[in-house]
Amino acid sequence: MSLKYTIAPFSAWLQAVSKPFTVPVTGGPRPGAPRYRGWHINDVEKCIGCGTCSAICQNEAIDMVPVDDPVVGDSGLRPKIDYGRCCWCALCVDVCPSGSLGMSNEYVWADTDADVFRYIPGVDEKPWDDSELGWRREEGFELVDHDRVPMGMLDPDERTQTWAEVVIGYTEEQARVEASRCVDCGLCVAACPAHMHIPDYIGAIRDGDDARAVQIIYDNNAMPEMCGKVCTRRCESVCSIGVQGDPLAIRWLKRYATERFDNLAEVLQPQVERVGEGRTVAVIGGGPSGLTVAYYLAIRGFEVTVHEALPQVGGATFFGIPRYRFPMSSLEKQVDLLKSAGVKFVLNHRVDGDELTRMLAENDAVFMGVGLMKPMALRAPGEDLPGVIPALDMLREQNLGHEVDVGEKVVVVGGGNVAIDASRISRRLGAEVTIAYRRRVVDMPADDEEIEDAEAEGVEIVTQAIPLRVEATEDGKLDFVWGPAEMVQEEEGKRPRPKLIEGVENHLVVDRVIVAIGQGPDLDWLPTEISEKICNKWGYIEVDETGMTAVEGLYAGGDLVNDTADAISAIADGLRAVNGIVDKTRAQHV
Amino acid sequence: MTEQTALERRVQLWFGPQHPGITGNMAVQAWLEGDTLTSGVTHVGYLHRGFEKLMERRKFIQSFPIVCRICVPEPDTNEWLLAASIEELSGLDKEVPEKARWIRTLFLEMSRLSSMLMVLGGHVGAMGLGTAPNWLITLRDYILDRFEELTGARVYHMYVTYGGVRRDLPEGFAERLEANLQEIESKLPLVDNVIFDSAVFRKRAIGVGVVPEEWVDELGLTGPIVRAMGIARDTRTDYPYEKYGELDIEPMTTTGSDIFARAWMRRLEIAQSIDLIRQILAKMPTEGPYSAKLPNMLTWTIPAGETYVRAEASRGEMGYYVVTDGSDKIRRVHVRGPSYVHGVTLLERLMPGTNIADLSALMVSLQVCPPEIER
Amino acid sequence: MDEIIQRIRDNFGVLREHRQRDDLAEVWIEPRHVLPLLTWLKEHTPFVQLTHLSAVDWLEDGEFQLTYLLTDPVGRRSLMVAVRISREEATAESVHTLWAHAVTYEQEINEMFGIHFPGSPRQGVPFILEGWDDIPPMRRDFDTVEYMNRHHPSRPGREHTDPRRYIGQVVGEKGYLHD
Repeated sequence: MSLKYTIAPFSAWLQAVSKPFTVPVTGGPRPGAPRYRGWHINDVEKCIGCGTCSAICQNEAIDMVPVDDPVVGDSGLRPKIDYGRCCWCALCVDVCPSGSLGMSNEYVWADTDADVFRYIPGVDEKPWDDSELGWRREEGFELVDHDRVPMGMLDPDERTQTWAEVVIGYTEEQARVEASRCVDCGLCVAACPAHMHIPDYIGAIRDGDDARAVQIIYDNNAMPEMCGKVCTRRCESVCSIGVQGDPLAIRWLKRYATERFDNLAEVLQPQVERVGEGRTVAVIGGGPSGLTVAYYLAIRGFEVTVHEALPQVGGATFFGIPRYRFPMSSLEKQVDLLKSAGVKFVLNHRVDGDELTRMLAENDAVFMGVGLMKPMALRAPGEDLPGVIPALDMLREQNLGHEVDVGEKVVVVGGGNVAIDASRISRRLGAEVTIAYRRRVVDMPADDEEIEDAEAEGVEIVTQAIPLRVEATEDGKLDFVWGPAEMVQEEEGKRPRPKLIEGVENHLVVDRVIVAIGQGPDLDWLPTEISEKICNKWGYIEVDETGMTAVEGLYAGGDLVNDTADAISAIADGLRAVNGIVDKTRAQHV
Repeated sequence: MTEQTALERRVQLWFGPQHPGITGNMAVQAWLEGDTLTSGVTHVGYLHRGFEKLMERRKFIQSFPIVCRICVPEPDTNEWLLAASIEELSGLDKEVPEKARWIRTLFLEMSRLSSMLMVLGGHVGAMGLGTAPNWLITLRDYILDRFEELTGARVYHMYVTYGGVRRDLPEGFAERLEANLQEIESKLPLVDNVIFDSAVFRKRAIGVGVVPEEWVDELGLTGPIVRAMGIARDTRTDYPYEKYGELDIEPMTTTGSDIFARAWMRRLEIAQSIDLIRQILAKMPTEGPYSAKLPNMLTWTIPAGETYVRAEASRGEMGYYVVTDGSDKIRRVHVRGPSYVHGVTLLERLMPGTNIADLSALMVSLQVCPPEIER
Repeated sequence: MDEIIQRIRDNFGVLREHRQRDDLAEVWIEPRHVLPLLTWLKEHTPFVQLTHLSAVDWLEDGEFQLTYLLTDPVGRRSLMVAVRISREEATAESVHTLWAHAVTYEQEINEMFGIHFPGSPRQGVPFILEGWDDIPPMRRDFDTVEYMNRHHPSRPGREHTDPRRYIGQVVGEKGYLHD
């Protein structure tokens, strides 16, 4: 062995006087890197308590614990982390649908009590709560799928030439992909007025069990094909995936599942006790609430008869929704199911006060869901001119198959779904259409997609337009005069109000002015002794928690009762009455 | 005094599991005559957590924080192998962006480098020489600093996932990494002085623990053990994955097949790694996404299939045999670590005739990593 | 690769085959052919290395699969030879005479899956588990969670509220098709 190998190692002694290898650390623990995965932080205001963090945690380190009352869109639960199990992988942060959860770059914390290492970030105060650094959600790396499977639609030009359904519907594969985006948090269930079991049927669709999906759907909705096409879908507005991405297409998935089967009775096979055997129930009004009551009571053995003034049941979903959104065949399929459950229908029959009194005497229960049938007037001079027509009348005539003439040019006043429907029908009738709305597009109560569709079909929307008057012109047309408005914030927290800018007048010469500014109750036909008991000062009906009015045995629901006036709320009212009637019947059995 | 029989002269000695000279938590049950081993059996089981079984009841995304724990000094090969095998079975491999592939290659090479720095120190540490290991652990810590800023953690990085990586390179990362590489390079001559030019190390390493060439195919040996015999086999060049095919890389080899040769292999490969990291940094695109668009990881299912994916860890060929059955979980994963053969069959074969004092050095030179034997 | 697979087809019979990549193929064969085929591959083809041997429990089929991964280190390709054996009998021929390290694989599979390899030297000798008193843990019917709860119960004080169920409870979610 050469001398070199004996001497060389001693070169290490030179290190004694050289710059050391090590890095000196002064002033406490070395701070973690800017994206260090340290102790959790949570912006509890942003957090929606969806529990996705807990679901993805492979160490089962995260419990969801109640910290506040649940509200729509927030379960009131917050994640509590057990650091005896946490491995700081930050999957919880990367998956967080609201983006509220993060990690600070703090990593030093010692205590003699092991139990302190379980805390609710953001609720239990920690020194690192305001930490600027640490691991955070980053756009570009998503563990959930933010992109909705696009829905196929008819081409806008094609649409106005036909009454065919605009939305094509998901294929099986599209539906499975869309369904797989769900994280099963259940926030949608709270938002749905009927509390449909949304994550469950989405899960069944994802797993390829469409029959099971339909069973789950019908578990608390007897008109799901209608909801699958035209529902106002409060569920989607609270979808946790929707916070940062597109919400699940809950409506389209429901539509997909219900359209898979022609014979629903065969798929459903309800397993319920026939508590209503030998009892009769009369339903006045064949709208969503009435049909809901009819179906769920009929499968329980009640003998149910639905009385409908029009030649077809469906209520507003029949006469108020254009066929290109909700085709007749879909409605008929649902009615067929009711018929197979034993529901009897009396059509073209308007119930009057005397008959109601008789019904109450002859039946075990009467359910009234007659909706809002009185259109609101324009409340501007010229509102009575011929050619100024309520939108609902026009929709009804159209849906009854009667000839509707709107001329060549139309202005539709209003911003709700009815206004959009009226304008899109007018487009299909060949008219040039303008919508005049008092507020801004963002304020329109109509569904965003509906507004987009209308615009795509060539409907022009004029906003901040206040109708001043309608005048007849010499050549038999109507001069719709409107003034521009500015939006004024009168009260903090309230939506801004349109205020007319005086002195400016715009003219729009049209053939028809279609008024779609809402409807009110029309209950003049009720006997006074009933109406004074059940109606409030605005003419709406009040019910208790069982859906019953102040008149024993008279139940009510739908637009007459709730203040949201949509089909799914009507269905929820129907379900409430079903509960009320069934519970009462059970109590009588005992 | 009566003459002792051979049997009476034999001593049975448990080397480990609690012994500073053993590679990790394992034990060697050795039989000695005097200072010389007559035979030995490897015992593992001190680290078993059933990773493979755990992965069978977890969703795909939930498995990736587990696999890094299969090897402490070099967790990243495991992360990549899991990602690559699942990507291959799901078809997601076609979606992995270019930049992600470069980052992964960089990440894997950094991981090899940090692991080799540690094990090179181990070579002399096992002989009781303390200086070099301390220096080399410090140098490894510089790389861990980079891992920390890249991945958010120093040891268990949990960085490579299906479809790419979890975050982009931070601003100025390449410069800071380059500074570390220069620091390491500047210190390596000092390290050489106390290892390869040390009479102690040379006397105890040269000609000790020689692995015969015939065993390579018989035992399926891989990695630096094979390259230290002069056989140019390297998974990175034989089965190029990620961006290794686009780098200028030749397998390093040396001859001797003894402890010294295997230590020298590490030294050569440290230099090679530094060179590769520079190549990667130079070729890496600066723009573009670092991850594919992922499906919902809570419900992701992938078709039934089987595959085997391999990568070059600092110890040799690491491979994942993955079976899926069309559900949202892995059906079976078998982690094939190089130590499985190197630490059991090969070590047991090398032990007879070895001096007990050389056993630690022998084990380090085989770079036995018990958690990858047990999983 | 194609040629070798063709020869396996001709001489041993292939039940199923799959080409995963250019450098990776898999053939399923009958159990009685395992030892002859592997011997032939090792002695007469470039597939000389046994890279690993592992088992898969196909509980629902009542079968175990043994997968032998053979590698041609020069040609840089691998062949997986898979065989399904009855779960009940759980016995397979040992290949330790071909590759010495198969002893360890067979020892581990014996311990973790309960598959017996008669003649293999370390059968029944604990490899990783010591004093194990349950069914072999890598079998699919071994429930890790149940085992953990029995042997290592969690520290008290944890309570999880599942959001989906909690919301349903709070809003009074109810079904109407079933009582």
